[in-house]
Amino acid sequence: MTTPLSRRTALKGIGITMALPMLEAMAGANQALGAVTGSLNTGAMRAASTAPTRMAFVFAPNGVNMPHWRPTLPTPADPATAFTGITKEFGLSPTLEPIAAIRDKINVYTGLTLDKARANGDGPGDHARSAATFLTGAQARKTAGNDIRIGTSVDQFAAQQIGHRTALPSLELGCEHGKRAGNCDSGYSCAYSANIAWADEDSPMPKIVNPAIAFERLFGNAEDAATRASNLRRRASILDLVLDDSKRLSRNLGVEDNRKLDEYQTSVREIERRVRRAQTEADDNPTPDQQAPAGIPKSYTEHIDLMYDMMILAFRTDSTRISTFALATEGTNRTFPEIGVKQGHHHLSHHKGDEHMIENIRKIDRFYVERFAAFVDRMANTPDGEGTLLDHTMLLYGCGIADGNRHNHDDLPILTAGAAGGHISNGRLIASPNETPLCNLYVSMLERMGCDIASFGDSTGNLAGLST
Amino acid sequence: MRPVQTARRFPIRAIAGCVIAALATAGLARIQAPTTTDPGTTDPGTTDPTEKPDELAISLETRYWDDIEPLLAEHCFACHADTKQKGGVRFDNILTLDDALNIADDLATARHLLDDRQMPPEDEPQPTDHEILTIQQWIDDTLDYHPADAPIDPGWFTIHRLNRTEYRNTLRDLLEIDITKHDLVSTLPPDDTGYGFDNIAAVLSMSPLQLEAYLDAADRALNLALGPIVKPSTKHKPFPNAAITRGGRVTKDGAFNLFSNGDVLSEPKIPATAEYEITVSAWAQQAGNSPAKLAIRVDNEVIDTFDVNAEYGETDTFTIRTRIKQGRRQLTVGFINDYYVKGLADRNLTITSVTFAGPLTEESIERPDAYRSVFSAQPKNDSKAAQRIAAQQVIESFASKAFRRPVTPPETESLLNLYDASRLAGDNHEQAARVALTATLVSPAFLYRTVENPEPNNTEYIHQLSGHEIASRLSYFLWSSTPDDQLLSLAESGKLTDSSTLRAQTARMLADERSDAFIENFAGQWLLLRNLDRLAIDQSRYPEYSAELREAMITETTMLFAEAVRENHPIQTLIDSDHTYVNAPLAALYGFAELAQDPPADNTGFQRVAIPPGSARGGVLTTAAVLTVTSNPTRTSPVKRGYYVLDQLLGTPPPPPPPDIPRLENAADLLGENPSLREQLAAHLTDVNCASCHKRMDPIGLSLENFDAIGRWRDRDESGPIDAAGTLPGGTAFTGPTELKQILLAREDLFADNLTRKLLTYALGRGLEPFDRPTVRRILTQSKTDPAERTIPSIIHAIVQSDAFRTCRAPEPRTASRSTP
Repeated sequence: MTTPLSRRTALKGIGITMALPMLEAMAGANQALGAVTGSLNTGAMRAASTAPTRMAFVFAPNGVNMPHWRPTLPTPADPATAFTGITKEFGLSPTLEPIAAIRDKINVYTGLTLDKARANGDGPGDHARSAATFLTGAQARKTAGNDIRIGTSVDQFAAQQIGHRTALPSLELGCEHGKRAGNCDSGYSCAYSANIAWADEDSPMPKIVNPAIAFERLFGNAEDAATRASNLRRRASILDLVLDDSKRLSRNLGVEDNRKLDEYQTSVREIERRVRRAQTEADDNPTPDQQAPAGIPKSYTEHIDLMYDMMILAFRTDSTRISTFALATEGTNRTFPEIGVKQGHHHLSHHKGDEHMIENIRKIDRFYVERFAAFVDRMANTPDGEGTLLDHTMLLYGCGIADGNRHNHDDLPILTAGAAGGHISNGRLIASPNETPLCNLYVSMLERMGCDIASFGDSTGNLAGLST
Repeated sequence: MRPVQTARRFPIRAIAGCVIAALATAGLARIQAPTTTDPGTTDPGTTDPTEKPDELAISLETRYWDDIEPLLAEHCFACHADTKQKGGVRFDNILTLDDALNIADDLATARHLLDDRQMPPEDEPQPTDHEILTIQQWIDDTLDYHPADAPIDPGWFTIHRLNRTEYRNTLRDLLEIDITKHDLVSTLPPDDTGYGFDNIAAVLSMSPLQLEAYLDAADRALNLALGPIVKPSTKHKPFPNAAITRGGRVTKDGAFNLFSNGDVLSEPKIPATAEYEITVSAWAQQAGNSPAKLAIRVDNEVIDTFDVNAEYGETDTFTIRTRIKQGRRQLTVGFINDYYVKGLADRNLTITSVTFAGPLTEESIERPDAYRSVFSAQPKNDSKAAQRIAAQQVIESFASKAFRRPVTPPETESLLNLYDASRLAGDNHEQAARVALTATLVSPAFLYRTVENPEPNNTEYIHQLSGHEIASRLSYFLWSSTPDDQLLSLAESGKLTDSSTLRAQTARMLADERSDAFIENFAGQWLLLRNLDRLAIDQSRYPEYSAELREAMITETTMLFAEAVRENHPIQTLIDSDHTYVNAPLAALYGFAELAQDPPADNTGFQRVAIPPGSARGGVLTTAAVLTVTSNPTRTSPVKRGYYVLDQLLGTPPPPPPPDIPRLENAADLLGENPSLREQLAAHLTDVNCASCHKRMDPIGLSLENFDAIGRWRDRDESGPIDAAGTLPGGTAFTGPTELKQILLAREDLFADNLTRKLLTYALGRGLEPFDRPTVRRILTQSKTDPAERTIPSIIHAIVQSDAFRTCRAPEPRTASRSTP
């Protein structure tokens, strides 16, 4: 069998070799799916790409130091107003310097706002709210646990529409679990600060922080075909039974308990779908011929890179097309020994004007941007269809708090990378008038994923000018 | 206005099995303020002529308008009324008792602030002591308010997914798995927390990732617990892949011809440790004085040797029986007495067949204990019908244990259907039964604790939990695990719902070592010990700090808590004690004398030691774990320590700081070179926005400054000698940690209230609501029966006896979400 891609190329640089079976078959399937996407995506299918479009969101906690982040803007005609519009003529700030080499593959955004992360009458709790609102655009109901409510996140919105096309509708990654004891932020449950992906208004999608588990989730355990087939058969019948059990239980429960049981039933159906898919496409499933990652690396840098690699692997094998990655939990107080930052991130973010603390925050912000830039670069060097993985992907990087010291949620630090199959033009500064909902950008991204989308969160439309 | 949630909403008929009693309850759902009359707001049913007015409610209200409202108007309304609701608190909208109960938490806070003379602020006119007492008495009576004989609102029970710890412990107890050796939950994502705990039903959600992890864990657990699927068999099979390793060749007809000392080796996978049979047929070309000898070995251990007398054209057959261990084993048959004289004599051995069989009998198979209890029902014979009967028994008994209640006929039937389907698909009896067992372990009846409520959507209907439901509630509270046989049989016989049985069982469970789970989970979360491993203490600054020391710190504090539980000490011993527990590294950190050999340390190296004279240790607050978890990676944080005392210990946390705190320029200018932490913190007091909270936190934290960021005593820090003196709002002056503890001991009321609320939250698995106040007050009263002191067990007993623990009602339906996209 000849493939358009070297199997090794696909995985080069991530320390894993595996047998990627039937790439042609995958490409064929993609073609068929591409056609579906095309018909939904009633826009110009500009690039004759056969590869599916992927989408990922990378979340960085605690905001940034804005003076070091903000790109230098062109001087507007009227100096009294800030620049709005789209331009390639902008300067990279010290924090954004690491993207210099790939700036033609990235857009920088200003003026985008998460209004629902603001208190809006609910008092303190900007950290918890900013994580909860980041991908949902919704106002978190203030509660330490009873009656959690937020909204469906943008990734899950897409997963619910198009996730059935891949083995996993979506992949949730992270580097840090939430706090293990105590309260998280001013009367908000830790569920709000620990999760960015929400299947519905009260069902968070937990993340995987161990790359070995991510690998296993993507490719399963190595087992021979006969064992695998009988295991799948048994699993399918078990799922049938427990779904019936839950229906029987459901009849004795009230409305509120049924909401919780519904999470169970949804999960059973999703695994049933995966099992059926695995049964019918048994031969197509990628099977790793080497050991999975051993576990969580000691170095945070390596951990982040490895999780990014898992995302690349998932996209590359078309195991999923939608992913989220929380670099750390909102409000985290982790230290960064690898860059000489020994004090906690959150502690430093409230710098009270202290130069030393600001300098440390700048280092952290830049560290995260460096890891993202390296990831984008790897995506740009991963062949996919007739181009690179990055050509067929849109990656969003950002925070739910703009300036960590001020807890403001307007003019957020946001980047995107990737061309989304030729539907996003890059290398530009997209400066929206302040208070433009970040959700407008999400609407534009969902359109490019081929989703049926009218509005999302607090969107007021889509974000104009993503493609030229 | 949100309907007030007091017990008055519950007609007595709601109690299952109770006689309908006409009581003065609903009739007082709205106590009218003197200025308004609005009979239309009362509930239907309030016209019941048998109801009489609630004297207590009326008197509380009369007292409010006569005595309290004028005082509040004079001292509070300027900041806490319609126009200026400082801190989001207002008292001017109390028109009815319901209104007051609706802001019960604010009233409780106000009560404490009055106690500490923190409110009204110092620069405002102060109420007299008598006036303060009048207000406090009214607040106490209002918070205690509960109409006589009316049921207490127990709140709701939300179906409760087993959290990671509960799931792991449950598998341990159900399947006798050693969870210290086998990590069954490594793929389960950690649970989200609410109200400071990870067992809050409302935030224990389910996702495909989790359910898949449960499926995998169920498979793994059953394989571990039951061992491999293996059936006895006496049918012989040839050695698989047998080959000659040396000294011979395979003949045309497949015999092994060994012409010098050599072996026929096979490496079969032995399915289970059991009795096996090996049979060898051979003949020899004889030479020399003795017949050819062969040896049968397992993993190089000679099991037996035989003389082969048969010659060409005949064969001798030898059979041995031996126990072989599970796993891949080396079975060899060897020729061991080669004899060869060139041209004269040549002894050779030819092995014509070598086979093995087994496990020979069921009795000989080494099964894990759990196998014998799960598969206690064995088929009477080999017929499918007999096997199905056994399967039904196995499934019924296992599912009843797993579901923590008798399995229902429809449940058994569907599990049996699964068994049948698996048989049809080719699985053998045991395999098929195991599929049903796996299904049991991912069934919602196993993964969720539920309460069957005949009126699941009627918030007015109070429902008594069944014996089995109480058994589960109790065992997950005290053991974080499944009920044991004793609890289940008491549930079955209906005795567990008796108060006295419940009390006896609670005592038994606290004494059982499984209550370690309660101690570790509750103390680990309440005292924030679990956050220690997140704290990256800067080891260049604190080289003594290590994972080992960190674990020792956690152990010490946990042991102090455990002792208070196990030895029923007054809760004050958590604040101050005359002894603690240390191992060698901790003793070194504390500067204690070298540990004596007597009493001997326990197997973890810990021993109970008296606090040396002059030492400020004793109680949890001055344990290294608490002092460290409230520090920053590079230095102490008096603010965090002060906050810890106010929040975790006293339950009166100040609000979080506003964002965007400016540099306190003028304050900074006042600071000289190398200012002490105390001088830096003094800047807080120069800013009115910071002062009101930091006046409470900073003195507490500063009084602990003699303990460095890893809890070690120091007399000075980088900027000079430590000054640990302070003054609390209200003027109480104190010097250092020992006097701080005295102040905390004097606030036993606050500490007990807070500890009770935390314990109740943990016991119920839900956050407390305003309607839980009467429950909390009752528990506080019942847990302190003179002359006995209040202890953690006494609080636990009162919780277990409470209506909130033993009954429930449906939750309020959700109002439309304002955030639904």
